[in-house]
Amino acid sequence: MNSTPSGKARRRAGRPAGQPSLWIIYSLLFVPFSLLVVFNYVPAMSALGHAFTDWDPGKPAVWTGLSNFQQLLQDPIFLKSLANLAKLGLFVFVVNLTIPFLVAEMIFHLRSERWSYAARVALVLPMIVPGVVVYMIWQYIYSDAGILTAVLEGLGLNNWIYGWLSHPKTALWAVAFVGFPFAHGFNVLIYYAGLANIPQSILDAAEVDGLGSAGKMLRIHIPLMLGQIRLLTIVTMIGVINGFESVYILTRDGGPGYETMVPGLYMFLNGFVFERMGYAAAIGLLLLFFLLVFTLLINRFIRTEDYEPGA
Amino acid sequence: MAAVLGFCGGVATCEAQALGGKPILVDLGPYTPGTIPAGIGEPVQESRRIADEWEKSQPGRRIKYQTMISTGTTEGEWLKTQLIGGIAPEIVTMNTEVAWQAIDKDWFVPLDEFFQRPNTYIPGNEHWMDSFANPALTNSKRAPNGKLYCLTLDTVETGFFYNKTLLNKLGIAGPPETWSEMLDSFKVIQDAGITPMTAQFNIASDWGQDIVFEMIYHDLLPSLDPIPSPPDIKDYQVNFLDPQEAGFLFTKGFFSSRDPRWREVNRLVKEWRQYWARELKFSDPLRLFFTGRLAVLWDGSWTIRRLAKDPYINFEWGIGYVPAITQETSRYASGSPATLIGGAATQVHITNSAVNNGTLEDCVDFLMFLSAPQNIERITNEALMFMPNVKGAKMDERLQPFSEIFKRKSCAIQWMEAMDPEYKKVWRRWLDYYLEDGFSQEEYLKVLDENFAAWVKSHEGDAAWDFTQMEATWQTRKEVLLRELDPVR
Amino acid sequence: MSLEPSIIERIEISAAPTPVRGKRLTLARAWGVAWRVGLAGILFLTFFPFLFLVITSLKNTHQFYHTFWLPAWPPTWGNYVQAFADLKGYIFNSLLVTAISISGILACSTVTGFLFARYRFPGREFLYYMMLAMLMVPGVLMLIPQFVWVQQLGMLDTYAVMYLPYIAGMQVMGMYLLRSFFAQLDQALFESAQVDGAGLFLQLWHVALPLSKPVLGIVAIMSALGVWNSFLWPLVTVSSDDVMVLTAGILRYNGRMFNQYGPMFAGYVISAIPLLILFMLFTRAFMKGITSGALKG
Repeated sequence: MNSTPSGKARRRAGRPAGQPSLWIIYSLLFVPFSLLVVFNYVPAMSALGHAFTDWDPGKPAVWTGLSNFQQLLQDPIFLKSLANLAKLGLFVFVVNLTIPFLVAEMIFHLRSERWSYAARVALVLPMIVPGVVVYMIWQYIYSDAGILTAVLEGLGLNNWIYGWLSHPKTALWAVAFVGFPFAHGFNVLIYYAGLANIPQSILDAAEVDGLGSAGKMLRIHIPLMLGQIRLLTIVTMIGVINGFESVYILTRDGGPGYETMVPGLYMFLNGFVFERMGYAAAIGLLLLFFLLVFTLLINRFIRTEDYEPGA
Repeated sequence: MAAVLGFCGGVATCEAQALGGKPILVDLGPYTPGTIPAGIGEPVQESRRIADEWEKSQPGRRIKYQTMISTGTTEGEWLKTQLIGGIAPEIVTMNTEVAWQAIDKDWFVPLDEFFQRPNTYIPGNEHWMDSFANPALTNSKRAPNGKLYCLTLDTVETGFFYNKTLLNKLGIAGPPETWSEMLDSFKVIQDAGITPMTAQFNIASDWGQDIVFEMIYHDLLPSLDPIPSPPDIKDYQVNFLDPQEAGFLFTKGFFSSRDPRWREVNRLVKEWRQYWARELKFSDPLRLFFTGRLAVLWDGSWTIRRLAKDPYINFEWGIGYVPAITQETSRYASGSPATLIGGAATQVHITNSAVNNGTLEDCVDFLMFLSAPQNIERITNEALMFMPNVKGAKMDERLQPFSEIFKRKSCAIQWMEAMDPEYKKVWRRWLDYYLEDGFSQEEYLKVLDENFAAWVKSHEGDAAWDFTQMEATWQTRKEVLLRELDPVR
Repeated sequence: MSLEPSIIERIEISAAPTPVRGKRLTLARAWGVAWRVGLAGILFLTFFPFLFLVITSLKNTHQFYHTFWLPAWPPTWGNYVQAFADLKGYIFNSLLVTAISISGILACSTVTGFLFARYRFPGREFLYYMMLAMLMVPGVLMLIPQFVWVQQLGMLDTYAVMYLPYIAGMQVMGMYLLRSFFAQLDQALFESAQVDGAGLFLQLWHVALPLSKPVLGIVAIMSALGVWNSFLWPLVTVSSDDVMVLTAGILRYNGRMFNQYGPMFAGYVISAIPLLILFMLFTRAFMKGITSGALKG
């Protein structure tokens, strides 16, 4: 798609002359792919196939064609959840891509190897804390007995205190702020890897050109880390679009009203609470479609020199 | 695609069943061995000992306890998958309303037939049902199809735990006698920078609504109730509105924006709400109360254990109850005492696993053994959270204040349990939204009307929702009742 | 924290005219202190959940309510005794399941990653995207069909139900990372091996694998985190204590009316220990893997 003739030629030249016979390749692929098909594709196809049915688990499914989708596109709750996803997604997307980047830059600039290592360990250890616990901590930050209320009371800002998670004006942002300061270990480390990978010669050249640190960040670091940025964009988006764990634990049902409803949660509620698995599957299929389109767009807009099958 | 749909859609039967010597799996909720009540003290063990004694009398039978795992939702994804697969424990404990949603799936075994048999472990007993301390309460858990799916082992009550020291400091003498006194004292407490009242998990709005509803409708209920409660539950529930009765009355205009009492209930709940914690869902009331930042904690009898054993609490506490609404507060009030919130606690069910495994008779026999007074008192007194629902079982004296509260009548309807989950969730959601100023009262009443209508419509063609009999009663009372709607305002 | 001049300072100093040099230097120094303090703050807040986990695991229920954020005295070591007694069977199961899963994931993703990176064969693109697409199907949606399906396969309540689906699912991310790593390796290495008569297996074993230890470390740790921490799947597919794993078993402390936070958090800390050991074992490879650009996407 994106290859110039010379690029193609270069790749072909880099390809080894001798290849093992096809049957060896296919028989090696057999085990991984049969696992994939048996444990993922069969249930996934079943789930997605149910998008065209009316299915209450425990009873046979009834074929209903496209009616789930027609209903979905007129469902005010679903539309509201999309609007929330847009707000929440944009926020999460921006902070999860920029703040880890800045933190990685800072760690990269720490001259002492020991401090830099300590910083990375401090980022990695919290990754083993289960999400449930993290969300619980946030519940206790937001509650009436919580830190946020205590701090505002201490400052005499009593009018600024809300029931953060239950007030219509604040709930969505309270959910969005969970995870502050957003320096998620995985993201920081991936950026850090990109920085550490930039050849010293390029950095030296930048210094000779008299680029300031901001200039270096914008003109050298970012262009050379597009691969990392693309990876994180895709991983973040999969998380944002399919995710609902934080909302589920913090506001339970996407309330107050539907202020914090997101499509993932709506899918979950339909499947497990309202017993409308077919409808849930339709939501899932739509989300999958969004993600595929999004991934294709990202792969088109953020191109790297790295070889990609099918590219 | 057809093949794919085929194997996933149907109920699959479980293969690995009916193996000889397989133990009966039992989840007894808070009494499952190893559970630590309220996270305080030693794990409970009595139920294990009782099972050991039963096993001795039943050679070859074995009981294995298993904690039914909760992922934090009442719906229980875990149980649902186990039931679909036919591999759930034989005996499970949960709110029986959950079982009502699954009547058409045969996941649970109706127990009516067994309740008519004698409980051989109680000398002289002719019908198991007669052995319960409160048969009316037990019967009140009947599903809409008229069958009883649960055995109610014990009862639970809620009350106002109040911080005496704090109230005295603020010059409030004692628990309020009337509703308006309560609101006045709450105002004093709030002005002093202390949260006046709250309950755990957003339950105040749920309980509060039922309690206010009963007090506002109290005088009207005898003529409103289209089908009188069956005699076997009269001692507990008078003029209780079943879901279908509530649905029927809605079609006549009650519980809608046309009904002035309905407006009054919603006004009062909202007025009350301003004295609750700011956060509706997770205000952390226990921590607020234990550390002296909350005046009144509305909670269940299980909290006694917590308060009594907490070495860090430096205030005196007492137990009271919701005061009556009087004419001073509302023209619809009769001054009748507030009804109780609570009722059945540990509700035990037998699942389809017992049928599949051929252990149904054994399960029933074990439950009879367990619910004999000499055994049930051992487990309820060990846990110290609930009052046994069996005649002749002795109750620990620390639970006495709650058995006083339990002399009150049940509320006229438990709204949040009455509605099917989908509609209940919608209601609950908008109730919170209304209480948080997301909606004006008019907007709120409008969505409630719509939700009610959708709920009633979803039961079209449902045999339990046949309105014929209610319609006949309605015709005789219509004149009087219609006057209560759409008054000139 | 070290206060030696950073690159920023050095550049600014050399670019600045001499007269204002002293002032500039102070400003730069202040900036240098400021961002380090900011970084320390961010790191503390990020690290806090881990700290909280450890602190809370040492409280009894009363201490939990009365001193929520700070450590409480005396520490309740009994939580660990109780948690260990309750959970030791589950810990063994978790270790076993995780070990099998990691081996399987590494084996599958190495082979597929290598094939996709090195060779052309009919259907390659199709198979590659067929794998990748699986990353995007929402897991919740698959829960019930996947459950019904493994039940029909007669796999409920077995160890296999806890590792086969994980291997199937998590090999995809591993394949994705390894493929891009193998593609970046110097192809000349393989060519010379080829000339020496090494076939596919020898090339993979003697050339690719020794060079890819760091990235294998990443895949191992990420898979371990995933398998070890997942609870919904074992929760629904396993019912007997003999095969139950830790994360689902811990939920027994998650009562319907009250949670036993002390033992629950002690359980979480205990469950983190094997991961910590794994982290320590793999840390060098992990950090090296991270810094060698294997995660270029």
